[in-house]
Amino acid sequence: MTTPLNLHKDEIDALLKADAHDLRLQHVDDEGFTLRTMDLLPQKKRLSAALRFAIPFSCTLIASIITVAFSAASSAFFDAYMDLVTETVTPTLVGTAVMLITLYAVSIGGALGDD
Amino acid sequence: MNPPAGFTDNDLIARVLLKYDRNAFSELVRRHQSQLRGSLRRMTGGNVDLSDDIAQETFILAWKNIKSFRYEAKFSTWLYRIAFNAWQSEVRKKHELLLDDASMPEQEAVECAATATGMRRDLARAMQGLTPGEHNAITQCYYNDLSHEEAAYVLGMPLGTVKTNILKAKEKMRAGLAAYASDYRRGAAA
Repeated sequence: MTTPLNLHKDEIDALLKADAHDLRLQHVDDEGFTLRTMDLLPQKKRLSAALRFAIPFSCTLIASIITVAFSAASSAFFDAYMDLVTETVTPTLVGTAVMLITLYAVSIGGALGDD
Repeated sequence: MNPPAGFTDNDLIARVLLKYDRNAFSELVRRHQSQLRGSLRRMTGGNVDLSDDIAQETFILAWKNIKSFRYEAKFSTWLYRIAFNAWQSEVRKKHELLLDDASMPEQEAVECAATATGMRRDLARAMQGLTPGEHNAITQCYYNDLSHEEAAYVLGMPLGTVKTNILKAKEKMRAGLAAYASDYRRGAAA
């Protein structure tokens, strides 16, 4: 507390401090107050699981399409598709599969996370 | 799972902000309920039900508005500010003087009378002669143990006004307690 004027000569100051000190020592028992208060707290509004899946999935998918469309990676995707059709396991196919699985995993994680 | 007891208030607030962690907020309520309810009981003249209602409203408002907490003040000071505004709102709503002894429930009045010392009774009587501004300044600075700056933040008034109110309040109380202060001085000297 800011030092009041005439600290040592001020009986009122001393009385108030003594009284306040005594009162502060009187603990108010919880007696269920915290639980009752927590029950009254409103729930935070959360997006539905479907939206929490759809939003990161859509964003990641759109970003992937844009990246593929405007980069040399488009031929790699075509190669991977052809490998899949011909049932040939190649590093390109594995890499593409890993990327798609990661995309789904991130989206599902967003849907399920933090519950 | 409850957060560890070693967490500071700011740690808990961060968990509430980042994860909407109700357990962290519950710990904050548990830590501060005693001080806040005690303070509100003094502000409402010992009305336990009303002070607990305002305390609950305070914590609910804190939960809803915790994003606006800027760490400029201590969490407890921020709570006092919300509680003071909630109490003022209640006073305006009911148009009644809550510090009046008549508003004190009978059971509480008996309990206070039984535990109050002579000094406390005289102080309470002297404080009844204060204006609301003076009373609030004394309550925040002494009974809530806030600095003048913190009291100004809680009461939403300029620092100079708080200091003036305290000086005026103490002058009024000095006059009211003159007889008692003499006894107190004699007792202290003995």
